[in-house]
Amino acid sequence: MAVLRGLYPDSIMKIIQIFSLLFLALLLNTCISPFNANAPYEVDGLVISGTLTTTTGLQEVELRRPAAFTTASINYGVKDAKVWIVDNQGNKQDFVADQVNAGFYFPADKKYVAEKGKTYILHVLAQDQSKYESAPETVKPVAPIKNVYTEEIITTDAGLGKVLSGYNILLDTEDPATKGDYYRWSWKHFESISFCKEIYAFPSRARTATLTAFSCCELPCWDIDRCYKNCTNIMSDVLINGKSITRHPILSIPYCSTDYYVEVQQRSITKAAYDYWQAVEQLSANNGSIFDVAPAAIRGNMSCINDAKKTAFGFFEVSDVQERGFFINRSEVKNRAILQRCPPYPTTIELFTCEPCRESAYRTKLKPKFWTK
Amino acid sequence: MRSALLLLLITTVLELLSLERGQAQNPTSFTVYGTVIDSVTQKPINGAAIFLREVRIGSYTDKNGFYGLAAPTGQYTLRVSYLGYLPKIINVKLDQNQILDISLSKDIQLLQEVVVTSSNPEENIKNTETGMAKLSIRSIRKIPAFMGEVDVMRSLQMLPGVSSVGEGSSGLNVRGGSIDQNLVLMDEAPVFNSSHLFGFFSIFNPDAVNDVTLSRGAISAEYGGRTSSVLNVKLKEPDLEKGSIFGGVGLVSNRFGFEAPIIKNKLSILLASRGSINDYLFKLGPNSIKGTIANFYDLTGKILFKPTSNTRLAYTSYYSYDIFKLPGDSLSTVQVNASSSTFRYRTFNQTLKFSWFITPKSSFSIFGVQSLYRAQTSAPDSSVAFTLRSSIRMRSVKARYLHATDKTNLSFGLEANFYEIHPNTLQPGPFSNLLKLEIAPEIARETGAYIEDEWKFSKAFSVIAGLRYSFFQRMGPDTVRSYDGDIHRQETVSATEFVAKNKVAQSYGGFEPRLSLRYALDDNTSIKASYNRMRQYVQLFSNTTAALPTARWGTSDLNLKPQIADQVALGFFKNLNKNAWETSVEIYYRRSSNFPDYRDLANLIFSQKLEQEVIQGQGKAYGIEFMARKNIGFFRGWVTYTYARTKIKMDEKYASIHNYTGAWYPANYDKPHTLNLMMSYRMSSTVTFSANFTYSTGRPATFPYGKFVVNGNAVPIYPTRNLQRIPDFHRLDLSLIIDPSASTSGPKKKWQGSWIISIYNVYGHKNAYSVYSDLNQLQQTNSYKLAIFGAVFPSLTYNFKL
Repeated sequence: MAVLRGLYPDSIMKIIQIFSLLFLALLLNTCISPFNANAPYEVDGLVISGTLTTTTGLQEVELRRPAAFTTASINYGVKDAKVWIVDNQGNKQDFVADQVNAGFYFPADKKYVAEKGKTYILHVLAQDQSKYESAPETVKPVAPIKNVYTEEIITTDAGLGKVLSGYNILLDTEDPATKGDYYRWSWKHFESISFCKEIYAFPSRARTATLTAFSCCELPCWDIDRCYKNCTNIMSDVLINGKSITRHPILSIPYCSTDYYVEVQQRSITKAAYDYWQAVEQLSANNGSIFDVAPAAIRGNMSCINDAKKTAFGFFEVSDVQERGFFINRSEVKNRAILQRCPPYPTTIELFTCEPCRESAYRTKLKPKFWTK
Repeated sequence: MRSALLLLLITTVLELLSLERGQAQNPTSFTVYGTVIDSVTQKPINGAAIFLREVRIGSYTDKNGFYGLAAPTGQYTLRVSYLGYLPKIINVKLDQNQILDISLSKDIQLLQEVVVTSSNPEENIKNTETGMAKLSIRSIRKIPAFMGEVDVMRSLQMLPGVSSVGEGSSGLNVRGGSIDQNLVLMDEAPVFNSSHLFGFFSIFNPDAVNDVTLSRGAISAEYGGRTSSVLNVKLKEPDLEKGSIFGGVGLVSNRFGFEAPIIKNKLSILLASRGSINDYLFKLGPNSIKGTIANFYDLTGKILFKPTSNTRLAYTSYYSYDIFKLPGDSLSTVQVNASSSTFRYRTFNQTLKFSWFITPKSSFSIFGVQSLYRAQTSAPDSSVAFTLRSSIRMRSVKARYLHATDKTNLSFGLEANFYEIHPNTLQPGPFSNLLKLEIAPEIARETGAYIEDEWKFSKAFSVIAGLRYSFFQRMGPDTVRSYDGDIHRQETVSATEFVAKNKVAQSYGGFEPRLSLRYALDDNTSIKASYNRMRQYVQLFSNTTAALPTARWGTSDLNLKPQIADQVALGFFKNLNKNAWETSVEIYYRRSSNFPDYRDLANLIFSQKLEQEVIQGQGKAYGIEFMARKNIGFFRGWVTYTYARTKIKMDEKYASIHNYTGAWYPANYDKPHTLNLMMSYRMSSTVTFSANFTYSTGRPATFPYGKFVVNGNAVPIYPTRNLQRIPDFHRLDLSLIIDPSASTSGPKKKWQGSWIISIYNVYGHKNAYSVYSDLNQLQQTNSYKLAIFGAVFPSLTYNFKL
C-alpha cells in the first residue's frame, strides 16, 4: 500500500483503507453451517482387514460392519464367523475370535507366522453362510531398518519461550536397487502399568463423574497403545528407487519425564496393497471440497464367492517385517521442557480390589520383545 | 465522383436558399468540403453535424462521411459534432475552395449515456449465427463486480448457457462443455488458464479490453481445436491521435496504464498493468490464514503501426504471474507428504498480426502467435523438498483472406499450430531424498484449412456454410504402447514401440462442417438454425471437481482419441418496440464422443502412461435458453432463463476400473435451472445504479453414505456419482457508479475520476461453496456447508483517466 501513496490523493487512500478494514470484518464471519446430506442408518457389506506377517504376535483378522457416514455411528465387530488362512502348500491355520474385543480374530497357534516367498489366501465364513475369500498374496522380503532415532520438537510457548514439547521418532532404511518396493510402517507403544482399572465416582456435590482412584494390578502388566487416527504410513520407491530413505516420520510423542518404549515395524507390501492404502488415504482425505478427487469405489482384495451382491471391503495384507524396539529417554532434558503431559496418576489406590492383567489387543502380561529393563 | 456531384448539388441548393432569402450574395463565395471519420477505426461517420457558427450555416455528413458547406470569404469557426464523439472546433479561413478532412475521437463519458451495445440493436435479427453474444467493456463495467474487480469471465456467466462449477472456480462451462473445451483467444492467442488466484478473478485487465464475443452456437469454420465454444477477447487499439493515462485503485488490485501515439496517426503504444495487494488482508486475519500469500499481477501491451492507409501491423504481448501459498496443507495427490506448498503459474502470450486492406471489400491478414503457460508447485520441507513444473507452449501461424460483396462474405485461410507440452518434472530440493522425475514431453502438430461463405439470398434468407479440415500429428520422441483389449493397464500392454524425433507417432484428421441458416419473418423477427462439428486434439486432464491451475494438459495419441462434438441449435429472435427490446429463445443439443473421464483414483500428475488413467466415453448436453434485453432508455438490462442438462456415460466394459459405468450420470457442472437478471438505471448524468441477481440449481455432488475404519482412516463409501446436489445458489449484487466528469454542465476537467461502490451478495446469503464432511468426534454434526462468499462484500474502487 505504501508504494501507492503519492500516486493518489491522501483522501482516496484513507477511504480505501477504511473499506479494507470493513471488508475484513465481514470476511471473518463464520461461514460454516451444518448440512443434512441424508445419510442412511444401515449400510450393507462386511469389512475384512487381515494382517499376516513373518513376525509373531502381529497376525490378526478384524471383521466389522460398515456404518452410516456420521460421527455417532460405530463399525460393530462381527463375532461368530469362521476364519482361516491357507498357504500354497495347503497348510491351514484357524483363527479364533478374541473374547474381549468383538470382531478380532487371532491365530489358534500363537507362534504362527508367514514365510517369505509363500502365497496365502484368507477365508471367512460368515454366520449367514456367505463365504469370503482373498486374492492370493505372496510375502516379499523387506530391507532391514538401518536406524530409528528421535528428534526433539522445540516450540515457542507464550510464557516460557522456546521449550521442548515432544519428540519425533524417525527412521532410516536403504531401498534395494530393484524397482517395485512398497513399504508400510506401523508402531506399538507399551506402557508398563501398576494400576489396571480407573475408578470413577461422584465426589460430594459434583455432577459429573471424575477419576477418583485406581485399582491395583496383577503384575507385570503392559497397556498396548497403537495409532488410532490416520495411521496409513506408506511409501513407494517410485521416486526414490535405490536411494536411502532417511528421516522418515513414524510418530510424534508429547513430552513427559518418564521413559517411552516403542516398537516400530517396517513391512514389505505388495503393489495391490500399496494401491489400496493409497486409496484409503486419498478417499479419507476427501471432504467435499471442489479440489476433491472424483468419488471412487475402494477396491480391496476380498470378495464374496457365493453371492456376488454381497460387498466385501478391506484388504488381506501379507508382509515380511523388520522390527525395532527401544526406549526413548525423556528424563534427561537439555533444554527447558514444556509442562508435562503424562498419563493420569492416581490420587488414592483401592488396594483391596486387585484386578487381573487380562490378555487382549490392548493389554498384555507378556514382556515386550525389546524390553530391557 | 458521386461525392463531388453531391457537393455540387449541396452548394447549388445552399446558394439558391440564400438567394431566396434575398441576402446580398457575395460573388466571392467558397466551399469547404471533406470527410468526417472515426479517429480509431478510420471509418466514415454518417450523420455528423457540421456548422459554421458565424453565418449559421450547417449540414450533415452522408453515409460516406462526406460534407460540404459554402460561405462567403471570411474567418469562420467550424464545429463538428456527432453523438458519442467529442465535438471539434476548427478555425477556417475561407478564401478559396478547400478540402478539410476531420477525424473525431470517441467520447468515452458521453458514450455511456448514449450507446448501449457496441453492435446495432437489430444485429441479433440480421446476423446469421445462433448463440452469439458480444459484450463491450462498457457494458461489462456496469455489472456489479466482486470486490470491485471488473471481470470478463464472471460477466459472461450472466449470459444464458454459460456457467461454472462454483463461485471462485476457474474457467467456464459453455453449453455442457468442460472448461478446456472453450477456445479462449486474447488477440488471437489462445489462453490456457484464464483465471487469477484459482478462479476468483479472470486474467483480462479491463483497462485493456475492448470487447468480448462468445460463440456458443454457430462457430465460424475459421476456429477449431476446441469442441464447445469460442471466446474472443479483443484488446483495445492504442489511440493513434491522442495519449492518455488511466488507472484505478481498488480493494484487490491497482491498475495503471497509458496509451501514447509515438508518430501521430502512424504508430501508437498501449500499456496496461494490474497488480494485487491482498496480502495485507490475510496478515490481519486469524492465525489459520495469516501465512496465506495470494498475489497476482499482469501486464498487457500493444503496439499499433500503420505505415500506409491500407496496411497495419499490430503486436500484442501479455504476461501474468500468480503466486498462491497456503499456510499448511499436504498435497496427497503428489505422493509426497509436504507441510506447505506454493503454487505459481504464469501466462506469456504474444501476437504479431499484419493486415492488408487490399480494397475496401477485401483484406488479407497473417499472424504469428505464441502462447505459453507454466505452472509450478513447490514444497520447502528439507527431506522431501521438491519443485514440480509443467508447461504448455503453442506456436502458431495463421493466414486468412476475406472478401465481402453486398451478397456474399467469403473467407478462407490456413493455420499451423505446434505444441510442446512438458507434463510434469519433479526436481528434488538440495537435501531431498527424492529422485528426479521427468515425464516425457509431448510434441504435436495441428494444421487446419477452412473456407466459409455467407450468402444473402434475399433480405429474408441467408446462409453461412463453412468447411474446415483439421489434421493432427503426434510427433516423436514418443513411446507408443499397444494394448490387448479396451482396458489400458500395465498388465494388458501387448507391444511397446519407440518413435524417434521428428517421426509421426500417430495422426488423426477430419472434416468439420459448419452451417448456419437464417430466415427473417419480418424486419423484427427471424428464425435461425445451426449445425457444427468440432474436433479437439489437446485437452486438460483433471480429476478434481474444479480444475487446479496445475492440472495437466495432454495431446491425443494412439490410445487417447481426439474428442469430437456435434451441436445442433435452433433459435427464434424477435425485437419489440423499435428494437428497444430484444428477445430470443434458443434450443440446442450437443453430443460428444471420446469425452474423458478417469479410472478410479487415477494418478494424473505422475503418470508416464496417461492412457492408463484416462477412460473415454460419451457426453450429451441439451438445453433451452430464454433471453429478453432492453437496450434503450435510462433503464436497461436483461433477464435470462436457462434449462440445461449435461450428462456423461462410460461404457460397461470399463467396470473393473471405473465405479460408474453403463449409465448416464450428471457432469460436475450440470446445473438444470439458471435465472439471471441484470439491470442498470441511469439516475442522472453522473450517477448510474445497477443490480444483478442470479439463481441456479446447486451443482451435483456425491455424498458418502457409509464408512468403515481401517488403520485409523475413516474410508467413505459412495453411492452412484453426482446424484445428489449442494443447495441452490442465489445472490444479489448492487453497484453505484459515480462519475462527476460525465457531467454535461460545467467545464471539462482534465483529470476524470470516478468512484464505483459495489456490494456483492447484498443479503449475505451463505451460498454453499462446497459441502464437506468432517467426522469430528467432539461435535455431533457431520456434514458442513462451506460458504467462502458467505458474507456481504462491500468494495470501493476509484478509477481515473487523464
